[in-house]
Amino acid sequence: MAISPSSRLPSARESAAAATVCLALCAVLAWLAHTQSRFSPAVDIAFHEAKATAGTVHAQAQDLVSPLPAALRPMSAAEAFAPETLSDKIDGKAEVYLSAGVAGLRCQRMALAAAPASWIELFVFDMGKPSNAYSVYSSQRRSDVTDLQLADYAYRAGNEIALVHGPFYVEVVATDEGPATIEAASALARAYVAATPVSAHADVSSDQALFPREGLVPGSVTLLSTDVFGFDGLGNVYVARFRDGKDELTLFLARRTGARDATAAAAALRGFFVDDCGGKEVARPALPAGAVIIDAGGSFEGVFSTGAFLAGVHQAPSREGTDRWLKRLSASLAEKR
Amino acid sequence: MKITTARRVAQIFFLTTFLWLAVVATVGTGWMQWRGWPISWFLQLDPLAAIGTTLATHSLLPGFGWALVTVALTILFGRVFCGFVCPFGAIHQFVGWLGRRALRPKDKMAANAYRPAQSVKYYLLIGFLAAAALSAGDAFVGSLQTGLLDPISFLHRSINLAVLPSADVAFERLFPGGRFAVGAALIGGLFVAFVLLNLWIPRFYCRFICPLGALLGVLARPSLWSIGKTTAKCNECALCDVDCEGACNPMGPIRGSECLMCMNCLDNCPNVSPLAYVARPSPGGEVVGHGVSRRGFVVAALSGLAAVPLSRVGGATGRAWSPALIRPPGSVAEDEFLARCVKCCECVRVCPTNVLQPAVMEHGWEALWTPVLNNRIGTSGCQLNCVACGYACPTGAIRPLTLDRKQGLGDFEKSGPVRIGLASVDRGRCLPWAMDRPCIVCQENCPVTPKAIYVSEIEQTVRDGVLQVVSVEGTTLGVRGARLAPGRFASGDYACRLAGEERGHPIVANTQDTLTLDPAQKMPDSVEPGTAAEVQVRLQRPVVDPSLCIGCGVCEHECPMSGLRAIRVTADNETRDPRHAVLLSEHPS
Amino acid sequence: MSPDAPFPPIGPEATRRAFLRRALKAGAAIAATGGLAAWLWDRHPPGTLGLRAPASALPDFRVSDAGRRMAIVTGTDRVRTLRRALEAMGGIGRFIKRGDRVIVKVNAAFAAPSVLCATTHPDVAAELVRLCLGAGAAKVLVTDNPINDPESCFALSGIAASVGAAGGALVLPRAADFADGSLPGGRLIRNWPMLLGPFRGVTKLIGAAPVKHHARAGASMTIKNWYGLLGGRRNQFHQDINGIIVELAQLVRPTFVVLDGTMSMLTNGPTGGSLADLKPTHTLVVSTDPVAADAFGATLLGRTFHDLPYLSRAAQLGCGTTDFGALQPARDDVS
Repeated sequence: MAISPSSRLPSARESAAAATVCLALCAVLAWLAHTQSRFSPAVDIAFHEAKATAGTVHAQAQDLVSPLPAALRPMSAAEAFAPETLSDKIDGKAEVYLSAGVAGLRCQRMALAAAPASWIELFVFDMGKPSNAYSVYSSQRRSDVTDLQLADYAYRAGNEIALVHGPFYVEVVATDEGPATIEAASALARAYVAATPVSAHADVSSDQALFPREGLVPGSVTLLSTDVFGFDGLGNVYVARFRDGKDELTLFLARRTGARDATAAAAALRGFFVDDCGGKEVARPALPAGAVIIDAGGSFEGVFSTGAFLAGVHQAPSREGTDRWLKRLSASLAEKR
Repeated sequence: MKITTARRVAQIFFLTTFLWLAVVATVGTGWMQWRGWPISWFLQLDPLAAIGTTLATHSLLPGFGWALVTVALTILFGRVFCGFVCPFGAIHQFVGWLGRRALRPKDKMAANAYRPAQSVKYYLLIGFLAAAALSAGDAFVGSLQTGLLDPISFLHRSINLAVLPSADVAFERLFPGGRFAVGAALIGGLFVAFVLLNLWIPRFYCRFICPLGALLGVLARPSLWSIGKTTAKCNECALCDVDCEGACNPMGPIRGSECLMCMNCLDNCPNVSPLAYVARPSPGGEVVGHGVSRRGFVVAALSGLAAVPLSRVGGATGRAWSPALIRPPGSVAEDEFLARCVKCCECVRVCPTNVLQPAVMEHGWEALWTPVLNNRIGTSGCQLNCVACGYACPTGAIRPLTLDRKQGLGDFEKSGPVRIGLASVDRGRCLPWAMDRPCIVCQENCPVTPKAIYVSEIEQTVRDGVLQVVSVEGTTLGVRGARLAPGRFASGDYACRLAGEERGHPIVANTQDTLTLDPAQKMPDSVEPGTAAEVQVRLQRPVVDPSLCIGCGVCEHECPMSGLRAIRVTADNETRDPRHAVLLSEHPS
Repeated sequence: MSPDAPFPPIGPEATRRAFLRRALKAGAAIAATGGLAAWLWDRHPPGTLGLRAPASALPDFRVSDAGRRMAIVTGTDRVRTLRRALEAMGGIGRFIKRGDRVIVKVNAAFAAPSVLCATTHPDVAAELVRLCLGAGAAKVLVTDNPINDPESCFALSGIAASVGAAGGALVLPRAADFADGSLPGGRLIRNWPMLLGPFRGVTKLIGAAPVKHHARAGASMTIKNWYGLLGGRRNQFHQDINGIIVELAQLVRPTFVVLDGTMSMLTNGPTGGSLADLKPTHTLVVSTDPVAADAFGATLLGRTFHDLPYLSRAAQLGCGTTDFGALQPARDDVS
């Protein structure tokens, strides 16, 4: 007995059911056709985003300062650099920031709306904490500057404004020194400070005020964060230059966690000058207590500690001068502390 | 149009769609590439995958909303998924029809009689679901093994890893340069075996094996519409059995849970007969059970339950975790991975470099046919800018990553890149470390910025490299000592250091007894015959920085030691399991 | 036969009612599936691998009105010194109330006999159990995740036997007892497996540790004792031993700690192994401030808190004071 599939004619209801199935298939087909035209994220990423993020510069969607001062227009997207990629932007200068513990750099260029040939680049170095920011600020401070009152510390030197705002060290570099450009640069710096809330501020004035007033070369107080005097065991030290008659020498002081630490640091620094730099201990003056003077081949070093402070004289031209400045520094510390 | 015609149209449609989705699953925007095709759609339609992962992880991925559609259709209309949609079922049905179309109706009827062994699939389902459901707090979660026999996983795996690559061998149209899959012979062999079994008993897999069919059978038992009689009695010609795909006995008390909704019985029933697709119980009687005995149920469930702790005792998900088991980027920790992966190998299919491979038994039976990186077989390692596997995965075993997340950019700078492992140099095999030959292919190919591989440099006198100068002519020295292989020292890595000099002179050419030195470097005023000259090689020896290495395996792939590579990736330090971390975290949370 | 066969309409009224009943059932089944699906719906589709928000692993076990106190008692009999010290602190009743479930976290790191003082002395563990039970505690659990095999550690150190005799419950850590824990804001303890299982329902935590030299950390006393709450491959924390001890000091806020300096291990810590490593220092300290206890313990080792960097850092972070004298410790002698 042969069964022929065509031996039966479908009823209207069966035909309707079959037609419903076919309609459903058409709906699925339409959905598939529609879906395939909206690319999967995997495909998008492989063919579009990958090119955009190739390399290490990661574009930030937002402008660094928002709102921008009216005189300025964004000229490029904001860029961001991690410590590893910092040298891609500022090359060898990255070392200055790396040694001070930089956490990242963001930067962006803006052009003057009225004169697009003039433009300004804003660099924001996230130094992690205010003291680091002050450190890179002070170590790069130019000699001929105008102090500004727009952040914790700020100055203008020619076409550049540098400032410390909380843990951020900020540079605003303009293409020229024209009054409109400088005005826009100052406005940008102010806008940045206003738009960036910070919880901690650099409070370094109290420590640096411990230096003697007399003979201090103005603006020469600098916070060095690592490798002070080439000694890799010494960091976070204030140094300042002083005039002694026609000579010049450097005084330094550093707060340590306690008297023991300070004594140990003084011993380590003495060891560095004697053992690593080939210096010779030439005197142990009675005052300040525990001080040593080292002849480092032509110049003299003096090191002592008092309380939680490590302090001393660096590259003084004479042994007698070293002795005198040690006492002066010790007296200043004792008086102001 | 007859409903059976509509069924055939639907089967052809869905099988074609399935094959099309397999063909286009290559990352790209061309018309025969992935684009936006929902390549894992059939798995999302699959309620077994949905219920299995949900039992094991207590969460239902949104994509499995499609499985709800299948469940609803089954409750309303019976196993229409098996009859109309399932592409594996379509293949079985077609092959069964092909092999048996010439048989006499009597023989066909005999093959389509119900067999008690059809309850095997229910026992399999019970065992699988029990294993998936077992969890013991934080100690372990269930093991999802439905993918071994889930027809959708089975077919994806077979088509993607065995059928397409072997069909494409001669053409290299889909896979230029060929495509490899570890253990493809087993995957393809099982596929062929189950397809051929249809020549013995039609839809063999569907009737005896298929755990998805079993699940749908359970759901379909009280389906609103079903095949049944309109009157209690018919002439009992049994013609309805001739082409019955499900062996569900439509004439007698029908077994609704076995009915595959092929609707052939409606065609074969003589015009005067009462067989119909109706919304009421069949007056001809219905068998409501699945042939599952209470004892069998208990044995199957206990076997499934016991299998999980038993296999975990081996320690593969605990302390004895396999360092060779490198999961694709975005994979969840291993115990959850085993609770999610349905072994469909869609990730393996879409991997653009073929580095992702199905595991065979090397990482334990639980990991069979789950994805693992094999840096030797691929055309490269895991690509820095690729996240395809996570978007192919239907179950969240591999999580979809953004590029920012994968590379640790933007919002993810603190969490860092997703690491799948850590490369380490085998200093006993590495050319510059062990054999004094320059190389650093691995360092050059490291795609991470800054490179995770750096070099430590030394200069070393080569073997038999201590020579004596016998003559000097310009910058060419005649030398005595060992015979030199001509040209060997001209690669730029070699220098000749003359006695009394601190720096060597780069060698620009050599014959078997002369060395020509770089004229750019000043020669000493006079070189006396008899002066010692040492041939030195400048070696850059690769060192891995574990804080930067993401385990992509590009270095391992490129290493010229082509057998056992001299730099190899292990799963150490993989992001997915903090217990595998090697380094302390460097950022506060 | 109907012209609609084999797709007949629903049929006469009686059948239609039956159909409605069945349809209702099917609808209910679908609705139930949908409801279950909605309940299990993954509302946070994956994509944030490795970014689980850390939650604090442990509650604060301090007794608010007990304040910061310390007692230092000299003597050779640990039971007597411990009792006297607790009396001087205002009695055990100040800390343990009726119905409290108490964990005594001992240091059972090594499978060594108690005479080597590498582990908490069994007398101290047992007396703490007795005192707590005496004060009305509902249950006293004694636990640690030791370095050597737990069973041998508790057995050979004598803790298992003495605690059992005193009526305490010894908890040997099982795999299921470990769950991921975090110190909010922490750097090291982030989603780290910790021995949290025994802490379910626990209301008080007492730490009991010996005074030991520790090659890597300088000393191992009451704060380092919390290291035994860490699971996983914790030995990688030795890359930053002071960091992990400071985080433990922040994470674990005990009811009080007992520092047993009856014998102090001066060298070859933390394992010791010879009686020659030990020095009789005949002092036992009870303190609600683990930093102060450890700062005092340092003096038993002939050192000061400056020699243990973790103490100053923990003090800076508000975990206690290194100036134990400021707590005006009660002192007594029962030798």
